[in-house]
Amino acid sequence: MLIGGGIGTAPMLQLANELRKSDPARKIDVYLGFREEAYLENEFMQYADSVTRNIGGYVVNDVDFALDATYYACGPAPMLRAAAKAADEANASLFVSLEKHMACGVGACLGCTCQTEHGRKRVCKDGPVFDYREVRDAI
Amino acid sequence: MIAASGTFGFGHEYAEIMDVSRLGGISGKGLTLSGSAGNKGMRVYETPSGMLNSIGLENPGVRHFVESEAAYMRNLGPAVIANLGGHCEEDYLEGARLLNGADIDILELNISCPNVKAGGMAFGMLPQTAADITGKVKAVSKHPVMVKLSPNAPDLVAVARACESAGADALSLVNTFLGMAIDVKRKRAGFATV
Repeated sequence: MLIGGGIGTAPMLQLANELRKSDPARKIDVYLGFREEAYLENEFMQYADSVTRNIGGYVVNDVDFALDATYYACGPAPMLRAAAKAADEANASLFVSLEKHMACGVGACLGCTCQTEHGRKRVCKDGPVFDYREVRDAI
Repeated sequence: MIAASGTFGFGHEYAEIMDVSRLGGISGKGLTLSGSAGNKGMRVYETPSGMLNSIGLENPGVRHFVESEAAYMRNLGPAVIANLGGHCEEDYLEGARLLNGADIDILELNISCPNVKAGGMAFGMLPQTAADITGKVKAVSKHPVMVKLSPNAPDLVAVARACESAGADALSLVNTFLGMAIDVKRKRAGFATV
């Protein structure tokens, strides 16, 4: 279950591609949220079994977190928080992709760190994808 | 060509993507005696004319460097430069003593740190305080001491001359320029620490 918000939809496309390649029989459902204009829907249709769009609303509300699935979310912090809350309530497996201002991008400068339950981690090198439980304080 | 302190970690990350042995030297991340978690919140901020950074000297501490990083850096090939900062004179001197036990080529003395015992004024702001800490570290350190100057000093040339007279083996120019960015939408400074 792929959940993308705004420009957070961009990395989800490659994820959908990789997931489809690694298991052609896998079920992939994509939920895309936008403020005004939708994009990439057709591109996602190449890999996904379904693409649901939400314009102007809260895409997380469209997602059923009680399914036997792995959830991936990328988008604005409020969206990630909403997904985290839903994952808590349904005890779902959720991975979030974080965004931080970066300088070196390779893990050397420590400019992009976030607070995790295991101390500070670098979003560029240690992430950007984390198990949501690890980065509750960072979203 | 020396990789400047703070830009290169201790070499681990860049060693994966380039041949770091081509560098003349690597100045490691600035160390403090007890280490630091660094600043919370945003640490880099782009401005129309450049980039501000407020990392907060996140570092593993001098002891960790001596025990784990110095040997790794030596193996990379370039000259090994350990950058040492401090919050008070005692921290600098203890840090320098501990670094005597490490196989490094140069101790780069970061005097842009605020002296908590002098109202938070950076050691490197005035010629007298800069010379004082330079002389004291020089007396304790068995390694050559390269003093990294603060560009925010009112009279940088005087500070440079004072450090030279106090025995600095080299000068490194310069540490971070002071700057501030205002986020007009949120009506506050970009960084959490002003």
